[in-house]
Amino acid sequence: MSKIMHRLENLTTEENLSQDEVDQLHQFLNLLVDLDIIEPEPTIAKEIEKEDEFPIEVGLHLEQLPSFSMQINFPLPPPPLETSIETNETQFQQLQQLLMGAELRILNDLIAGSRQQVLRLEHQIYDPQELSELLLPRIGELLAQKVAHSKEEMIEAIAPIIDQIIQSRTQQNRQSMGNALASSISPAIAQQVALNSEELSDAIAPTMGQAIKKQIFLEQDAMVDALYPIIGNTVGKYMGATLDAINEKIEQTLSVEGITRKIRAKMQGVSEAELIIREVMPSQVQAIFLIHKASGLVIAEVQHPEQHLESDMLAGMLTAIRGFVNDCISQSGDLPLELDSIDYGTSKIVLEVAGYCYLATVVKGEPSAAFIKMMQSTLRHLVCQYDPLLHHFDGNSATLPEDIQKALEILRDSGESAAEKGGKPSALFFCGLAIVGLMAVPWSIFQYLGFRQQQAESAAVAALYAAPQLSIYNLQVEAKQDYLSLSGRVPNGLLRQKAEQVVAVALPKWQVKNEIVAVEVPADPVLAAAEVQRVTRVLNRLEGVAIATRYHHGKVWIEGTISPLIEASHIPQSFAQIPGVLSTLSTVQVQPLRIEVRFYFEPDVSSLHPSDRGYKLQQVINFLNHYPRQSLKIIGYSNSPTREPGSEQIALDRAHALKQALTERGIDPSRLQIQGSTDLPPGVDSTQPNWLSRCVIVEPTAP
Amino acid sequence: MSADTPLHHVCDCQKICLIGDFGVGKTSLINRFVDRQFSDQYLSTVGVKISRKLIEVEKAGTPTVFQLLIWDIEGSTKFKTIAPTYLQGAKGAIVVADVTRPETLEHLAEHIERFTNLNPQGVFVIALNKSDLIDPEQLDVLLKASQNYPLSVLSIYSTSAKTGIHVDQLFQTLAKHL
Repeated sequence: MSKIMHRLENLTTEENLSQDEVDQLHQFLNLLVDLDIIEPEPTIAKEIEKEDEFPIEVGLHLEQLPSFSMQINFPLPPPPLETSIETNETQFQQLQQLLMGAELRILNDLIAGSRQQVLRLEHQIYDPQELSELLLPRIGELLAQKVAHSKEEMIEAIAPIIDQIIQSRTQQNRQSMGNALASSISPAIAQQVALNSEELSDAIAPTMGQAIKKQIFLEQDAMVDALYPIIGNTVGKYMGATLDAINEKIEQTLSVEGITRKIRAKMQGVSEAELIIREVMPSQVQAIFLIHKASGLVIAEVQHPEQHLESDMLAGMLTAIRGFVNDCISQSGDLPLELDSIDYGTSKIVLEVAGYCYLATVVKGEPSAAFIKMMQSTLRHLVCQYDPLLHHFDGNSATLPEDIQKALEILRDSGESAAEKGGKPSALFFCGLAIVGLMAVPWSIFQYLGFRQQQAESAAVAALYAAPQLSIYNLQVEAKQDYLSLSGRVPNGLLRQKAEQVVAVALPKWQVKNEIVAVEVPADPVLAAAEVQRVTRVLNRLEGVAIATRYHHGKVWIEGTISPLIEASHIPQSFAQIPGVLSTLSTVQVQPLRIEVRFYFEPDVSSLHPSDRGYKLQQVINFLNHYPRQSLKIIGYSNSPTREPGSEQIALDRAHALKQALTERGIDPSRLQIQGSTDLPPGVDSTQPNWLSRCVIVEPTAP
Repeated sequence: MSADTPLHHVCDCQKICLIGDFGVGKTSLINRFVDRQFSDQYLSTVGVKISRKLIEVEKAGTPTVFQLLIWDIEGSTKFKTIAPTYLQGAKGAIVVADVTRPETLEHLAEHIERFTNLNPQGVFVIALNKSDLIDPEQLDVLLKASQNYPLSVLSIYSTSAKTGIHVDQLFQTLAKHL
């Protein structure tokens, strides 16, 4: 122990240990002693001597202590004393303190530092702001790595919300979103067009019309410019075609050709258009070639002697064109397209293909359907008959049977006969025309004669009509071959002669055969009736005539009255003069003139009452003045039942009184006769008052 | 169009084709053979041009006259192969290459194969055209190098439509073997 202490002291001096450190070492040693780990010096020595028991080497490498080693012998087993447990613990702590003091501090510092670090990290993780700052520089890289590592996962993660992202962003800033997508829109559409153009069409189609309208509204000129080349041409083409069609129709429809064509079309059972084409281009077979399909070599041919075509070249080129159509044009279809015909100018090459060869016919004009059928049947026959020969044709036509050549000749002849057939109707037409012409000669002569006769008839009728006496009669003129026949009725022979004369003057070259009958024509009953009415009216205008008449079947019934002044027989005579009146029946009564004036007297008085000298007298005077040729009979009445003598005288006196009064008023007395009567006056009977019979009446009398 | 126009159809008539890459001188060879003309102007043939030439050859010891229908077919490129119907029915073909363009020589075999597929009995004559444009030594090398063709190739000529060298022989040789 003392050695150790000694060494410690040495150490202090040698190693420049601080006093504090030396104190610590002392404490440590004491502790070791207390723990019976080491013993005071003698024991230690003894223990050291027993080296082979349990040598434990404790090495301490403290920075402060350059090297420190010792051997400690732990007694085995150290007696654990219960009483010393607590002491041991404190001691252990001391030891711990001794052994690890410095390290513990470092450790503690480290722990504290680590805790701080952890806290800061926690803070960084849980505080969003901090976290985002932390992750910000790395996030791109992280995503890139993630994408590189597992793309699908990323897609799965983002996919459900990607539409919302776009939508949300669009809502936030449409413009920037637009900018972002702008460049990819065109390729996107292009791609869509490539992938599914129909879908795109469906999507765009509904707005196309509107878009075009809008564009027209915005920039009309641009649209016009854009569409002009198409629309202009289209309209032009359409209008051209339409005008042509209209022209053609106008030119053809109403012409003779048009109508005959219509009839021919009906008769032949083909369309009118076909006939038109045939008319415009009468078909003529120029050449027929049977050509080997593969090599284009001519197997057989017939040609028009005047227009010889270069068969080999033609066949070669036709074959090349056919091949071109088969190979290059008809690739998409299931069946290769066939070239049916080649049109050039007014000619046409019609192709019919079968087996290993094909038939090419050069036709000028439009071949008829019948000819094409003939072509087909010829080719069918040749292929059926000579297929192997045709297949292996090696360019030497001498090896082929003559039948092939003959078949082509027959075909050409049929084509020509078909063309002639087209001409036949025209020959027929001319024949018909000749017949019609021959028929037309007598017909036209007949027509001429008819015309001449008609002219004469018209002239004669006009002349008859112009003659005033004859114009009212319906006279017929009929022109025969060399004479004119007049017929009809006139009332008398004079008019009959007159008619003949008139016609003879008007048409001196014509003989006139007068067949007019002179008849007593009964007067027109209507006119007669009218005349009867007229005469009736005239007679009624006469004074004292009041008649009515009725006309029926030539008979006139006359009724009415006439004044005695008129000769009654005159009335029927007047009617009898009217033409058409055959007889008259008159029941006319002659009615005397009356003056309805009576002068009354007082009994036994014969002088006029003064009052009667006024109005009444004037009436009589007026009558006499009105009828100056009339006389008056003045009759005085003096009726007395008793027939007294002198009454007769009174009656006469009374009449005389009136006569006198009238004479006084200037009436010629010779026109006045007086008469006296004792009878009752007319119209008065005995029952009536007496005064009525004391009167004077006047009656007109003829002079 | 050929110069001679017979009044009636000559019985024996054969179709041959000129095939090869574009611009090797097929049309020029025909013009030289048929019309005895040559033009420096290059006009690309579109589709087919057909010419005709009466030709007299000795077959089995007897001179025979027949008509050669020469189909000048548009040159093929790697983008455009010729329509097979143009080749059908031809008895033989003149396969043309341009000696100044090595790739046209390489394509000769392809042309021969295509023609043979359509016309298994077809015979060929190869024309190494534009021979006037290269040195004779080079030409010899080329001729010697082009020997490994099928039996159907009757002969190989170095031709020049411009000078007319070997042009007639080309057609005669082919015609003789039709």
